[in-house]
Amino acid sequence: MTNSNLRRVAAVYRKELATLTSYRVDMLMRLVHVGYFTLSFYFIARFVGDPESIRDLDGGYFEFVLIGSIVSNFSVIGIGSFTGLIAEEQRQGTLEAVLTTPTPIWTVLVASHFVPGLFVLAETFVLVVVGLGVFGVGIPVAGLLQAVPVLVLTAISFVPMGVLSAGFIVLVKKGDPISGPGQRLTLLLSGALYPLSVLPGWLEAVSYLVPARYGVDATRALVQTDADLGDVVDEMGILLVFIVTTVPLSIAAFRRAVNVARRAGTLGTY
Amino acid sequence: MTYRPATGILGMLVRSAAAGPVRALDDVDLHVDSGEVVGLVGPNGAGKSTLIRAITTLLVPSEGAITIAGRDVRPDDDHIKLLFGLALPEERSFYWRLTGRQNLEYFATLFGLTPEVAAMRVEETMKERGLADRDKAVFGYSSGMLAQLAIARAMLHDPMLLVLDEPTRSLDPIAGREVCEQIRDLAAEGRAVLMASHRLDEVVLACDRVVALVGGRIVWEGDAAAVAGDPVGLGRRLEALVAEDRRTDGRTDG
Repeated sequence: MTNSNLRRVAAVYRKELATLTSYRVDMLMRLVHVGYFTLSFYFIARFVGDPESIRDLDGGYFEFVLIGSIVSNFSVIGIGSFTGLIAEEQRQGTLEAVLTTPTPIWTVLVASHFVPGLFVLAETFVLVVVGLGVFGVGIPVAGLLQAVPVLVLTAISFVPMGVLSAGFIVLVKKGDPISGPGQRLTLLLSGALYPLSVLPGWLEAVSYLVPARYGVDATRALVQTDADLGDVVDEMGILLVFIVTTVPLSIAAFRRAVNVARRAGTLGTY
Repeated sequence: MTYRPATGILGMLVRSAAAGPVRALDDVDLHVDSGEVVGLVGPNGAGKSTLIRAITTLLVPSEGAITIAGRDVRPDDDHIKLLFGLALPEERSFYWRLTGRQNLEYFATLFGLTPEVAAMRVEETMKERGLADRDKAVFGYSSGMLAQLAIARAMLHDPMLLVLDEPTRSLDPIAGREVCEQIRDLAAEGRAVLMASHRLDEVVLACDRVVALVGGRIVWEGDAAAVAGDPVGLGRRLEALVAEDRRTDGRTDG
């Protein structure tokens, strides 16, 4: 990456951060929202008790679901960040101004993930602090730090879905058929909220196609068992293969969508 | 078929271009020379914005060619994007939560200027446009300040072609006249300027030549002095052509 492109990535990051922090109440409410969900999970965990299907993991259902939530949050960065940025730029009319500059779209793609990434880190912090501070139930921080490479790979593995979704936004403006269903399918089949062993056999088989499944499995292994990174190489490898094969394809599809909109004269409309 | 537009800083020979479902440009042959200001007039739906988007890589014509300084305009050519500056209508295209300076710094970086050059150009363009001492979040800018900010952004990388889409829209007559005088000054530095507008009086003030567009076609072209001598005549002629165009194919695009 050239210095010029690094500066572009940093500029998008600064712009996004300045915009986010200018809406302070929204920021606060989003964090409060996380606290609210943590509370709900705690009471669901009390209701569920100590399920047989997760006995081989350290901790109970509360820790299980908190880790699932953290991985899901990282997945959402990949799905939603670029789509959100493109939709916002289109809505406020800045997309055309950006596209008349010699800025490669991939620099915007890379940069669009940093601020949401920071926010997910803040959300994770809230999950850990509320879990530990309020309920005295802790996620081992050392295990969580060890899982950072897995969480980063999981987030990147969702980037293709986000880029394809942004391509739809460029063409159809609203109502893309990828990001919403993608997020719901991920929640259903990743094992974030419940062990996948409770699914019917055919549905559990489908879950092998969902990258978040590997992120959830690997993170749980690192946080809730004695495993180290060497033990989750297979899961990380699958995520990496998924990334290497689908990211270039999705970027090509996005470029194609922009070119179609250029030819149709609809690039700047919303 | 190969199209070779006329020479000039801007050369354009476009047989057709679409804007959504309608054919928005039809046999447009246009050029703008160095130091020249060309005014593009026409009613709503004439194809002015489509023409501007085609020049600035935001729209690819279905048939035809556009050149800037002899180089083909292609969206994937980064160099071509340094040859023109685009000022979009003032109320759109800025990040409203950022200050004007932050907006300019951001776009200076996107244009690939080094931090030192970017800081210098932001300062210069803000001073030249009278914004340096009045900076604040863009949502607090007046219409006049937004118009100046749009021109400042278009000038950041010192382009040889300046493309202005209705730069005086929403401005009072005095502020509009000031912008027109500034546009003349920018052309006097050797730039080619293409300015779209609804207002014949301002076009006459700012431009050397006027091109009238109706239904995506150039229907009249001549010296601004000729329009100045008979603005009512051109206005009436445009009205008649618009009525005729609506009778024939009822175009509605912007």
